[in-house]
Amino acid sequence: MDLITFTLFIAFLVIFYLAASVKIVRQGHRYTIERFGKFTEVASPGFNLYPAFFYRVGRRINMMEQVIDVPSQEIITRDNAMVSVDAVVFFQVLDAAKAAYEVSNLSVALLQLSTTNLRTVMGSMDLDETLSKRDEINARLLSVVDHATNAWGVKITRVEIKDIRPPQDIVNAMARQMKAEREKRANILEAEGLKSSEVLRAEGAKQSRILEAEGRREAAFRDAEAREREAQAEAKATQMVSDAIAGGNAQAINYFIAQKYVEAVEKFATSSNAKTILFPVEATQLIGTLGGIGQLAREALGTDEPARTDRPPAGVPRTRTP
Amino acid sequence: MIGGLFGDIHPSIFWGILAVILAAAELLAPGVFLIWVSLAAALTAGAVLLLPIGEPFQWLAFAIFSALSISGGRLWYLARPVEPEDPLLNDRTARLIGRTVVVTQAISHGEGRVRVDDGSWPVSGPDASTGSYVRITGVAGSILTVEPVPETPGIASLPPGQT
Repeated sequence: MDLITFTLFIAFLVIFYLAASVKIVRQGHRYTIERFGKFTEVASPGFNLYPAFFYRVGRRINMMEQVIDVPSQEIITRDNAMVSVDAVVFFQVLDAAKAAYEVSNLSVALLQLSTTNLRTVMGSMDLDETLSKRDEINARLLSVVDHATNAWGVKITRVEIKDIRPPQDIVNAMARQMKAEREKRANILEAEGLKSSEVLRAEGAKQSRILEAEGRREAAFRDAEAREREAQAEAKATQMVSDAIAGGNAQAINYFIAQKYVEAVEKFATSSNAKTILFPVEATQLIGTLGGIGQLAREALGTDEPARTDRPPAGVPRTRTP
Repeated sequence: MIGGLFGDIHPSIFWGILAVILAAAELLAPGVFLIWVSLAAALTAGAVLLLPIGEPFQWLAFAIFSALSISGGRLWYLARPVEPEDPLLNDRTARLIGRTVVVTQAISHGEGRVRVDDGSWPVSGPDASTGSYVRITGVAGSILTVEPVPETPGIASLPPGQT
């Protein structure tokens, strides 16, 4: 029974020893192996057997790319604006041994390094620059932090500014500035529009005035021409009348005029207006006219026909035969 | 039977049951360790079935078989190493070798920076002006060693083995 107990313990001890000696390293990690406390090698992923008591695992290093969140912090820019900034740092361990033994607390060291350098880089820029040149901030931070972490077997792959928050009053001022800028642009555009429209309107007015004047000029020309033509016609008609008169007898004209006179009086009589018409009828003249007609008839026919009763009105010039 | 731990079942049955329990435990808590012990228990069961071994020596045999199975397992593992689909996994710098990259900070006195994907890496190598192309030939820590590329390609070429 004692022997059984003893062998049982031996068996358990062997199992425990083997359990402590088998080192299964998962993918994405490396284990540093120490022999009596001194680093010897790095265990790769897979099945590793390092006899316990002589060897032990020092550090378990994650070889995957990792992210450190740089907490939000107040940074004073070059133009004395206080902004709160938070960032993320991506890093990957390239050399497990260096990352394990060259630096005592890798993530804290990286966090402090990026925080202080973030302050340095952003403190050397104006607020506007910090807001618009994130890429430059990232690049500068990366190159600074990269050099520092080279000794730790770590590669900083990316430093990204997550958020930059200026104080509220500055944000308001920025909004006002933007609004004013847009207002200015809108006003300028409006004024330009007005100017253009006014110019166009004036151009239009000018054109219309010019056209109108040209029209008037043309019309005047035409009017003058018409008057000339009329005058010519008048002259011709007069010429013809006078020719006719010269060729014929003045008494014939007298006859026509008298006829018109009488027709006019007739119209007076038939008009629907008041029938009381006063006009000085010079009876003597009328009688004279009758005499003239008689004379006319005699001259025309050479006979002694009874004269017409047409009486030319007063004021008709009478041609007297000598 | 001598009695004691096994009660009145046959030792080989006990070891068989232990082997099964250990294999199940391995499935429940994978650590690639208990499976070897389970194998040792199965071997012990076989030995007890074939040879009349006293109870204390069965435990010793179990311990010896455990040691043997684990050493055998390691030898087997070394003889047939796992062929990963991507041997360069978690080895970022090895992936970069052979790539052609553009210099972002002129290399002078053996120090400069190049752009790789969206990040920048410190390099050492012969002098090269900003904007010129260099090929990554090796790695020292996180500093890449580069050589100038005689012809200027349009785009950075992929490392060999990747198409």
